[in-house]
Amino acid sequence: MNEARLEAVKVDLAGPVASFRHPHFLIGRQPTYPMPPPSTIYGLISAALGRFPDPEALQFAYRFECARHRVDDVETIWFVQPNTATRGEAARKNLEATSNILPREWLVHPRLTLYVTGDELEALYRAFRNPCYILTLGRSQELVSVRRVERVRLHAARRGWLVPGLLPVSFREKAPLAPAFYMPRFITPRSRHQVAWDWFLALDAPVHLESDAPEPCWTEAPGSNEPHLLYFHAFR
Amino acid sequence: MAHETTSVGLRWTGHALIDMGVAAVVLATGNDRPEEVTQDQWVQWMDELERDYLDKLLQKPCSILFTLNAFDNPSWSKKPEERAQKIRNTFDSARKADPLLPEPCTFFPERPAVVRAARDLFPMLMGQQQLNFYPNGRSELPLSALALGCVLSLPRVAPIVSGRAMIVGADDPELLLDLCEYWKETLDRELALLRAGGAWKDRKAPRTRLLEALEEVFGPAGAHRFAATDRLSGVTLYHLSNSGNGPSVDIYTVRPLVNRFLARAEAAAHRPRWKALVQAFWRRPRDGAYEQAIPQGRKKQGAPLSDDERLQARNDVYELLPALPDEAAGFIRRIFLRFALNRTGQRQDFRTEDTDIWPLVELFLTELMPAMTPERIETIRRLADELAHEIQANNDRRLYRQLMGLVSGTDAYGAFRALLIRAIRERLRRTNQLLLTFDDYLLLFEEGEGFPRTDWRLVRDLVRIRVLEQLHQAGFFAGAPELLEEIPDEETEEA
Repeated sequence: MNEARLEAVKVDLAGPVASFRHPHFLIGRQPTYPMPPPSTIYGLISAALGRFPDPEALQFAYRFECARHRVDDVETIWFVQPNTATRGEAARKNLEATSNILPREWLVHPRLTLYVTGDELEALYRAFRNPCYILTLGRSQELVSVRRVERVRLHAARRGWLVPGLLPVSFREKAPLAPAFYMPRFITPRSRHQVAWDWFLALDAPVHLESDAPEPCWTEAPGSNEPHLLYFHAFR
Repeated sequence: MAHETTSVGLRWTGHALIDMGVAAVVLATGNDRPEEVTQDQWVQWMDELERDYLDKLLQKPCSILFTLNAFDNPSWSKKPEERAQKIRNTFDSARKADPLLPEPCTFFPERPAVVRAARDLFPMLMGQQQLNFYPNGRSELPLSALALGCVLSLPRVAPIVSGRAMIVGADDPELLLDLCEYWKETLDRELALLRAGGAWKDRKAPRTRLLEALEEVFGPAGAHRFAATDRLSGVTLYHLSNSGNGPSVDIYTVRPLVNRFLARAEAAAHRPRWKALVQAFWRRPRDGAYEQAIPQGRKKQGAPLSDDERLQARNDVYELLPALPDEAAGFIRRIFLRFALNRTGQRQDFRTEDTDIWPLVELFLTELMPAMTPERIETIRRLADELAHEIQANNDRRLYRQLMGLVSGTDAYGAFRALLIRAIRERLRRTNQLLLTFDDYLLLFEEGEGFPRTDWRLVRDLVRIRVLEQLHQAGFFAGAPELLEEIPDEETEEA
């Protein structure tokens, strides 16, 4: 990343709704984060590849936008618990499930432009052109369509417009309107109780940088007077 | 008895439910940082909490945070020993240094777990043995003694408002400490009254209560013991109930710049104006609705809010602040313009102090609206002053009426543009001077000739606020009593 240029795969995704549940709010109502946490992005990349890539060999940036107003939907969920019956026919089942309804908060018309860089760009390019599994944003039914996949070359830049997306908290002074959220950065796939958390700024409107960004940023348009700036995050 | 003065290992975790408990422990043990809390202090605090739980002093907040079944199951009414045993067992786990479970804590992974918690020990989780939404399909979350003790501390620091707990997260833990100190002192006083036979006070309007607390933190009373006034930090309110009857959570975010605006509005230069503005917009609860707390007019003369009424009252200024900056135009129309209209007698909704709020409006624009450059703000001020001068010097009531939207058909951009052109022509005809240059006009109202800016109504409202204040200062309305009429609301304007 110290190079002045960076090769990346750029993927445009869009869907009707998305929902990124706060991990510890399970009952009553399930509100959503304003944009996908890094762990969701890792899941998306893994779904495209059909395997779990080395998280230390990947970095990502994204631009995320959706309708300003969120909506709540009432959906059916199933409460599943072990069967405790010990007699008769009832003892033959392992699990019991009862249904209930639960309001879930949605983001409407999500549009994600994802940039991924790392060791296996060609594999990533081919994977997003022909994903191994169905791509979703949030729940398994929140399908997204891949609108475009391309290889792009990015250039280092320090000034321009920060695009809506996740930023590290070191950008606090530059993005003073962005609220901070504590999000899962990485969830170990085969032991999902191991979660690396971190604070992120959820920038939901472009911000013009009058002075240098506190950390290196990248742009597709180095010649522009007002380039759009991306910040690349690590998963680990 | 040997004293254990080593650190218990407390730290900030980033998780709102845990960190608010961490703040409660830090404050209860008289420390400034979590790392300073010693083993002894931890045990003493757990002992004190356990007594409160046993004495049923925290029954109300516990029923909301942990469900009624957790510590006050109705079936225990005839078996108080079972209830006491449950509480003793829970606090024994929170005091415990030895691990009971061979797995790490969810929130302090460097610590071993002592219990697996369902929603009766940790708000908003599923019930016991329910598998949904947990990692690896294993029900409940492993908690260490520290995490359990922090969650058990929440009732001492999280006020109950409208039947739900106020759980606050902040990316600056020092701001969280300040907020929690304000609430803990308040709740401690109520707890003292409760011990003497009193009851928890009834609170409503969560956004108002949060902003009220933030104002206390940033105000001159010096409640901000920990956080620096000008540091940028956001606050997220999780207004939640884990009650068995109606669990739910709503999230309100106060963005960092809004906090800084609040801190600057509370500074000496603006404080009297800010106080006057907030004071005007209190509403008292009445019959399931809210009515203006300080009405104006002959029929209604409201008494000041009592202390108990204040805890249930809502304030329109506070209610709207979390929606900024998205609703900045609405804030200007519904708060600043309404204040100016009532102050000058153009509306009769509430009484206000006789105070200019334009400097506060400028602070608002500068802090919260990046599109409002200093040049635009200055041009708006200059245009408004010129228009006020035109109205005053020429007693031009027609211009005033059109500018304030008192004449039908003047709300559309074309009509507004026409009235400005007329004013410019009038000024040119009389004095051969321009009221507004072409460049100034474009800067304020148009993207290109004939294409209005999306915020032209916002600029018009700002002009109205300043014109009202200038005319009021010049005594214009004293000579024009017929202008003291109701100005209609404009909530349904077309863009």
